[in-house]
Amino acid sequence: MKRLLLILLLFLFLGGCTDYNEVNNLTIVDMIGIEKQEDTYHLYLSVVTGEKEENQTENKHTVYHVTGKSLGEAFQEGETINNKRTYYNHLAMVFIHSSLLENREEYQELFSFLKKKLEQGDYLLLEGTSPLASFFELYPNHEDLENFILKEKETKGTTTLLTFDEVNANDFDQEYDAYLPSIQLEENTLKTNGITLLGSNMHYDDTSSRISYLLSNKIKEYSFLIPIEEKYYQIKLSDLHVNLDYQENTFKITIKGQLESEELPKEKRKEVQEETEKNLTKEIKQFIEMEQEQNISTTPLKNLLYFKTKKTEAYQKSKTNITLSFAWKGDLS
Amino acid sequence: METIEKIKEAFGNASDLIVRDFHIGECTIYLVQNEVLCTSSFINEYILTRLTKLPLTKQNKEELLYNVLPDNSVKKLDDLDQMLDFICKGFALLIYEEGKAIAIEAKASLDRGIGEASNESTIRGSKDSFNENFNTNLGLIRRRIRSEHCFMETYFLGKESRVKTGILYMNNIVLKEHVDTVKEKLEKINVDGILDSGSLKKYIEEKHNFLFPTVLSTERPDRAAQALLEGKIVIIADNSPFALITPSFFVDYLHSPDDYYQRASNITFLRLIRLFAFLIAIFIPGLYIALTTHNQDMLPFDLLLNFSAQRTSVPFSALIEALFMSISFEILRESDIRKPASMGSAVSILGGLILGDAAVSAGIISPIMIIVISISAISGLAFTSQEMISTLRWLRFIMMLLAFLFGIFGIFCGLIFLLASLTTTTTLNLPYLAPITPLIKDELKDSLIKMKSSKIRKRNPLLTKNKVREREAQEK
Repeated sequence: MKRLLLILLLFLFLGGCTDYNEVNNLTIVDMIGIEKQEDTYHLYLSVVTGEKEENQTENKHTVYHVTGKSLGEAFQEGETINNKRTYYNHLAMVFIHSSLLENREEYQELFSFLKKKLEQGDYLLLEGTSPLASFFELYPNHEDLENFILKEKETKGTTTLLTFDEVNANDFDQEYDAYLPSIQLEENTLKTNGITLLGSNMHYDDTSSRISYLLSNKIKEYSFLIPIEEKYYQIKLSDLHVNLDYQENTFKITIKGQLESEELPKEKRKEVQEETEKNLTKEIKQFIEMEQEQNISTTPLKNLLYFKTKKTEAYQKSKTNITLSFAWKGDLS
Repeated sequence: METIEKIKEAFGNASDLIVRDFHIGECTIYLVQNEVLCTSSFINEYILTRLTKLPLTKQNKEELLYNVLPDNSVKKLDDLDQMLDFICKGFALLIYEEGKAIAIEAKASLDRGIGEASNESTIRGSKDSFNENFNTNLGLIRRRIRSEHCFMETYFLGKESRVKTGILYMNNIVLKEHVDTVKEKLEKINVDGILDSGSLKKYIEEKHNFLFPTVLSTERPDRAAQALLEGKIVIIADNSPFALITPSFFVDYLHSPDDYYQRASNITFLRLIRLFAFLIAIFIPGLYIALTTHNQDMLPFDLLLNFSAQRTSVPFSALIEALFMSISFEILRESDIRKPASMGSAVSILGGLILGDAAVSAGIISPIMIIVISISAISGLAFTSQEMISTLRWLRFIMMLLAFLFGIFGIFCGLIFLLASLTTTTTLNLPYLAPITPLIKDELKDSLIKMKSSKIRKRNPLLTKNKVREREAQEK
């Protein structure tokens, strides 16, 4: 009995050594934004609280803004909000302003800080070219941004969602040039802005971004308009699958997919297919040439070359062979 | 007569001790009986009616009294202590000579008849249950096991209570060492009174077992009979409507009396439900506390927000809330059991309203805590054994404390403690977790799951050497 009491007392005394925190004493952060202006770091925190209304709980987002001379100082400022400890373990998105991604050292320092501070790596990363304050004012809920990106991904294929872990893994891979999808605000409306390569001033437009995603098998469908006899038809490429290979100093790219269009008359199909294949081949070739010229690779091509030959010197001199195999949806052949 | 005076003195001249002298022929016969323990009508109709007609002489009085009076339990007594003992047992004494008496059983029926089991109700199966009469209880078991191998050994326990206690076992099935162990434990009892079979439990259970019950009590004769056929020992005590079954393993507490009257698939489902209820009863409140105080990252985002919203206005920590709810539930349960029948269900309704709606409206507790504690408490009531329900209660509190202090790590520590307790508990020196550990494959067919009866042909080898329970049916 005495032993049991002693153990109980020991447990009670040790209770103060643990990181105990009631769930209602936490400030749950849904999304953060990091920006640097004139040597001052601005940290935007989108805090979500559940409010009980009748028989359901509604989520309410509130944005807090703190600053600091360094990133650590800014996070320190935001350690407690409304006397509650800031909780990042359910963080959904980190929004980084483009000003922090131009310099390699700066963004690497930022990433290593985020890795240490936030522990988990499954939150989404986005780059914003417009001031983050306006983003947070108009879209404090990460789901709005996420839904926008998903919609753009499905319709135009010019953007995708990337997690911190994925970007960090690409950054570590020497045969890969890491990038972030970029968005901007134009007259209070969200707009995709291609991708930004980390640690450089390079920026891809929407078309190049789409090709990069396509060759990385990150998009499976997208839509575009094609003019036929002064009329524009909406064409959708779906079930896209890209196969990459390297043989005899040539990158062999095979793309399979399906074409569909609700408005297009059947007799125009052949013409549209040829036009689509011609345009896509041209875009891919231009894209690869551009990357080869800069000796950068946002697709698995350089990685493939290294895997096949154990060296990447031949990257810039390699040729490209593109094979497209599309079929109209509903056709048996 | 000096014997009469000594008897009166021994009973402190109690008013319920009746002494009546009869002058019959040449002899004076004294009738001594305890008015409340004996049946007056039996004494009047069968003893006195015949007694007064006997041609008693000084030579033939002993023979006539012993042979003519109509009772098969007539005993000759020649010791004062014996006489006092038999008076207390409800015998009427005919003292015919100094220091000599004939004792005739005239026990009054002070029991309530055979009723229905109140704590172990079944859908199918018999509805009779034990009552406070030893002979009735023994009779109910013997009706089900009409075998000469069903042995009974009697003890009178308690210096003052001298309660008749019987150990029953199947001589051709049980292991002798188990019987000897039980007998040894009962013989060591040196106490003033044993008023109920429940008092015997602490003498039979091993001292190092402090958490889990190892002696099952039942009010059902069919369950007791089944236990005998498995090679277990049943203890019945006078004045107690509960029989004790030992050894009892952990899996026995997951069984219900209905298990032998339904299909195997149904029984398997129900046993697994009870096992699940066992785990829920212990871990759910602790898990909730751990997830809301230490390991919030394990909760889905929406659930986390929901919990946060519900607990916003609650001034207490999760542990205090849980303890408050648990203790309130126990108070409510206790008052429900003890309340007078005239009060009806008013107390239950009041308690439910107070604990439920009013406490939430006042912001003292969160709705989710009511759900958690209710699920846990109701799961704990899935067992028929009161001792197991108490064990679950203690384990629940331990898990809550560990969760509060260390989170999920504390829950795992508690789980290890639980497993360690289960594996180190013994019942009559047998491992409590048998047949899971040590693994007894044949016995697994009727432990956590139940297979068809045709596949369960052997008994537990830990309990018996006579393993064959069922043989192949012989073709005619």
